[in-house]
Amino acid sequence: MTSADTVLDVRDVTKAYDGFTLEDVSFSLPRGYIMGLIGHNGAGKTTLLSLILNLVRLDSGEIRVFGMDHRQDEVAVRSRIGFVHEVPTFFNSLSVERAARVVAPFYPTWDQESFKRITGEFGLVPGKKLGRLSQGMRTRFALALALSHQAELLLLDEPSSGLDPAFRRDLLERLSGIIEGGRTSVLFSTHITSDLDRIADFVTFLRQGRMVFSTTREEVMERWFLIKGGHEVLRDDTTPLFAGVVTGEYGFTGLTENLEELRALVAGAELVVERATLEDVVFYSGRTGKEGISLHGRPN
Amino acid sequence: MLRVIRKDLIMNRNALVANLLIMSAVLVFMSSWEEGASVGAFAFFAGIMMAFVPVMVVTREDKFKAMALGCSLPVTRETIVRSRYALAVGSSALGVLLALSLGALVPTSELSAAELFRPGVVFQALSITTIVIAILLPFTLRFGALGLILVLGASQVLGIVALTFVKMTESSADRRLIGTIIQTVRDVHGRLGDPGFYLLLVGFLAAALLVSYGISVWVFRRREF
Repeated sequence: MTSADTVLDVRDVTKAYDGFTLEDVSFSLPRGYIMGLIGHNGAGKTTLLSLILNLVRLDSGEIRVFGMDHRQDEVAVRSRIGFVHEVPTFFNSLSVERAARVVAPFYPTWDQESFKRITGEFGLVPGKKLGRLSQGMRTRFALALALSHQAELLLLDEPSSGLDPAFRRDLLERLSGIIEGGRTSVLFSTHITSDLDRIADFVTFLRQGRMVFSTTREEVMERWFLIKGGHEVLRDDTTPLFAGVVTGEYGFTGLTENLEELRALVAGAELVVERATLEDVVFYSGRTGKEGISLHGRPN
Repeated sequence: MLRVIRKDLIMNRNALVANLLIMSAVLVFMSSWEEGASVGAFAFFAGIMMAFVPVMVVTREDKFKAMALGCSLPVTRETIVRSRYALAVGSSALGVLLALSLGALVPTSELSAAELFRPGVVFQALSITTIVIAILLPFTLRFGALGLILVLGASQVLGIVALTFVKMTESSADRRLIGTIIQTVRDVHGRLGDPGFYLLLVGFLAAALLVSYGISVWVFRRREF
């Protein structure tokens, strides 16, 4: 991938707070693709998106957007970014139309006709006060703003939470449609992993501030397996092969990317092997069983 | 910068007008006191009250948590701070002139128009409003509404400590200090004459604003949302 093809390049990004550190996160997003950012609540997804927007300051590392430094060239960078914050905040007394009129002058590429069309499609009434919109409608409004200035990179923080299933599906289809032209890329965080099954080309998984992986969705599907078996399989030499295990009375369910190695070690043992879904990866990764087996995920 | 000012004016239009009306009503009431209405006190309070009108833009943004939106737009933090200062100085100066006009024009007013629009009185009100803005904005830009509370709280504590000290020591240090300041200002005014004095005053206020602006840029660049 040449740098011209890379819309977003995050390198060794670290940000420390009291009691939480986002540590050494690196990934890149090519032009024209969708990347999903997944992880439990508090994994660092919002922090990462805020770092890209320069809403919080980097402790170390580098973020380049469209080949430019996200701090030194912040105006040029942000004029080509569309964003939806986790809780879209506007002044409640403004109407949909008026709030758009406030935002529009900041973007040379603002297209009022697009805004009218998109708000119409989203069911937003121009004269309605923002304070009277539901959480889902506010997200729609924020999306309409992001889509109306021809952004080349959309940063969406949990855009589908708070949306009804029909609109969520519509949003995902819309995002797929947006990248079809090959001009726009999307980075969106979510804990609804089924959203990513539908549209994501790349997946970046954060756990407790550390990146577990950042790769293509296909690779995740091919690489991770869900193993079910008896307790005898969990031995000192096999346990480290699991990224997470949940144990029960009759056996265990574990997540692994080392299927062949595991099979070789427990040849003859009865194992049920399934391809892990993204939800399985998020759910089992780093999980310790109820009997207290201590395991660790291994960042790539 | 104009786009940010426009955004702030549109977003805060109703609240700005409402606050301006409330402040004006209080000042009209003040000007109508039969006993004790003084031009100096009126100008002093007009200066202080009108300084709070634009500061409210920042605290409202904090209340609605809309600062993250403003800082996500393609504009630098420095431009946001600059526009806040421009808006604050411009609107509070207009507010002061409006207050003085009200004091002069309202039929119930006990204050004389000629007195209220003496250059000394106008400069006094504008100086006070500028100094209050210069003190308040760095705190509100850094801490939002909490910054305003911090400054007001600290002023109260400082006042109580000073009064307690004066009371306990039976000292007249407070009166001597205020007297010295007033006398020094009068001496400087007398020596420089009106034009020189007002020029010096404008220079002092500009310097205060510049220092305040520098601090605000520094703290606002470090603020995280």
